[in-house]
Amino acid sequence: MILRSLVDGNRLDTLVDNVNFDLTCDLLCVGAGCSGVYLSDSAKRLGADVILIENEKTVGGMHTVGGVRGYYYGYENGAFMEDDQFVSENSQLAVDSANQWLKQVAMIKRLESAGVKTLFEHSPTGVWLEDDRIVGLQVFDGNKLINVRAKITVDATSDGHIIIMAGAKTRMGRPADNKTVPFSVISNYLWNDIRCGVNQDAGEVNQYDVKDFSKKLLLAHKDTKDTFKKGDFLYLATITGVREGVSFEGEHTMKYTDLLVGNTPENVLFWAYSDLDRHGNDRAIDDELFQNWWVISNLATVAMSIPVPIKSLIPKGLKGLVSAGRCLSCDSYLQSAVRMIRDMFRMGECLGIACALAINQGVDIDKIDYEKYLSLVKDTGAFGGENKDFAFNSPSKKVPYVPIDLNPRNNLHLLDTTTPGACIWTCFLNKEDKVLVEILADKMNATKSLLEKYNCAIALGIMEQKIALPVLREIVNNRDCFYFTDCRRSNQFRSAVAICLLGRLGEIQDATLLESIVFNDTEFEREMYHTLENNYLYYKLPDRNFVYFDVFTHALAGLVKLYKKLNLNLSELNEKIKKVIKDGKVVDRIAYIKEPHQPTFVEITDFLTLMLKQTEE
Amino acid sequence: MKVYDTLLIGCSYASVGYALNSKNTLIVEQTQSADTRFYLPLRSYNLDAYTPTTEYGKSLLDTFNSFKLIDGEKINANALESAFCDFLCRSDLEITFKSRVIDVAQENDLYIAKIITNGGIITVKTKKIIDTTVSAPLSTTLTVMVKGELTKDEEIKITNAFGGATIQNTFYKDVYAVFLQNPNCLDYNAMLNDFYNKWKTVGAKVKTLYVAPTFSKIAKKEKGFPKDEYFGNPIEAFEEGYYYAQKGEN
Repeated sequence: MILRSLVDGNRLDTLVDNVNFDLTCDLLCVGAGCSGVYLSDSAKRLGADVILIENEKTVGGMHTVGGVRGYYYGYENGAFMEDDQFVSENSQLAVDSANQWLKQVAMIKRLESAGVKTLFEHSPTGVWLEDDRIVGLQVFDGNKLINVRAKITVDATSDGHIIIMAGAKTRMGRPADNKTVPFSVISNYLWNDIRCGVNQDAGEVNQYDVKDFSKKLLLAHKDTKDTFKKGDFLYLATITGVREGVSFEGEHTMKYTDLLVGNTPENVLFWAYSDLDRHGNDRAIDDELFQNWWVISNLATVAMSIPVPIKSLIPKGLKGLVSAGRCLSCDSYLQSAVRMIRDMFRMGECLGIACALAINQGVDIDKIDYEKYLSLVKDTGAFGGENKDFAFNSPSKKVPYVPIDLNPRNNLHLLDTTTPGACIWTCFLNKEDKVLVEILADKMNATKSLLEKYNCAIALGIMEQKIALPVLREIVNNRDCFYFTDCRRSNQFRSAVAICLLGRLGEIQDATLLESIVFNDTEFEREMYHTLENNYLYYKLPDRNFVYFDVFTHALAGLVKLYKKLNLNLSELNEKIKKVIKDGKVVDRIAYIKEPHQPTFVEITDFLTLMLKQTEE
Repeated sequence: MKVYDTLLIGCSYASVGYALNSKNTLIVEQTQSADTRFYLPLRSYNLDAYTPTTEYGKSLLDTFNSFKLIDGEKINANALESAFCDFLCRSDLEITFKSRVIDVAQENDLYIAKIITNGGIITVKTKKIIDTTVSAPLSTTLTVMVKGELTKDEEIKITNAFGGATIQNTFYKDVYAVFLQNPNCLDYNAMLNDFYNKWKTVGAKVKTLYVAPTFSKIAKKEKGFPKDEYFGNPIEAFEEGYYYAQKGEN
């Protein structure tokens, strides 16, 4: 057998002749967090012999000791509802929603009643392989190293620690710059007898680099000082809220592009439900399709059902190992969506059933009798997928549920409103429809409503129609100060949207226009950069000039695109960007706090560095 | 491979004090918190009187005061982590979180320590290893914060239900810390379960606000490294560690 570990950054394979396994089981689950607990429980109840190991002292991961008590999306069905019921029945014991400990008790009782052997403060240190199959783990139990043998090993660590150790091919971050979304530190305070939480975006971190992780953790904990002013400070969550870790090359890789156009894969394990909850604000360097969704169509808070196939949980070429939780084989944009607490509970429950079936049938998990699986899982309610609409929806139900009609002709009236997003998006989905283009062009030219005229131009722009250019230029020249209002947060600034489109469709004169925004110091003197209030409808970060950030970044990213498309002199642009970086004025204007780890400071400086790099190619 | 003079197991006030008075140290901490001995278990809101004598000790006290943590003999244990991290950010020490020493071997005069981290195993060489943790406490205590009007009757009900429990005022109005002693228990989940089972029967009008995510350890003061658990004031623990480094003991 081979013991595979990661030592000093290198993969180390050690051949061992006679391995003494201290423990043996059918299913070894690493991580007693949101998915691990319910996975272990459901597998055990279906007859699998389960060992659950956990690094921390207790259960629940981000949902308990991680401080994420509230639910954000996710389907409301599955075994976890019983534990929520337990918490609710005991609510008289706790102040307001300060009931994290009750949930821990519920989860502990669940594992005990199922008979899951749970080992706390156990840390995996290596993976055992036999003929390319993972057959167990080496684990540190606090005193010594022990070996645990298993038919199936589940990585429910949420950060793919076992998957990385096992040697799967991994990637991290979005395509443009490999950056992940910011991590958070969660603190709780008491205000007027109400438990309140602060979820503070603390910048980017590489949690696999122990020095970076440790340094950023200290900085993030120190920066919670402002919470003290809000009320009686209670605690900092003991686990850091890292939202995005590695993804791996799986037997199937989920793509957000498939999701947005409605492609459903085979053999779905379960359906998640969420919006594309992407933190961070530098949308100007996102993928074009994502920009179409989030920026140009302003659909940040539209929720959707997301099919998660079994094969996206299996690292390619590695048998005996499965992932549970938010570490999937998918792109960075889907990682923003398939991570909601309720969905993690349900994924665990469904995967536990699939694992038990695999063990029972003596096959790998991707070879299980899928119809049998469906019959087992549908009884639990955890499978999901009952609602396939894309819809404006709110986890708190305070905002009306509004499904999107996918026929653009039924949405045309929205163009004369402040909420044209559904129309713009459905026009994009039908961009080859020449009749639709004509209808929009006629509307744009004939309408007396400026709102409608400008929104028509955006719709034509997303359909790549140059006929929109004169009106898009007008929006930008006028520095139109309109914000869309489709969403309950993250609404987009129409000037920035138009700038983004000019970057794609524009001509030489548009390069000149964008240069005047980026390189002309008088641009910043415009009133709009100094009067719009920081507002949750647009942005949450009070430490930046968000209008200028938005306009500037879209303008510069657009300029780089135009230069490349029109074969203009890239090295000239490169020199101009160097000057902007050197004189520091743009960073000064945008980032109110210029400490090296502050999210805004990092976002704008990294953006400028990326633009410089893109003009060196 | 980097060679350290000292590897300290466990981030604590004493280990930080030691590190600041030494060269070339590495602190290895299992959890994701810097203050695991006073803050994480919410050990106490009472502060033993202590006046720092070192510049670092005074700086730590200044940091606590800037966070408004101290009021006479009272300390706001809930806010210690934030303040301690503020101090550590200015201290340029090497500390690794979510890390555990899993193996130690000896090679001539040096120790080779293997440490499991988020990024796999790292190997370090060091001349000295100091374990600042308490492995065999005399007893453990679980702290539960409760809120409400705590009458004398309520106090009696609670202390009767939890034999040996003590109750302390905290920094906040109508918020109390209930300390539940567990003579032989090192199992946090068992403690939590036991607390639930008993708390349900108490019928107290005060309600729970927060249960500390770990227990504090009561330890007998022994010769050797001055562990945080021996002291009732984190600054005193810090300076004891600082002076211990000066003594140069193993």
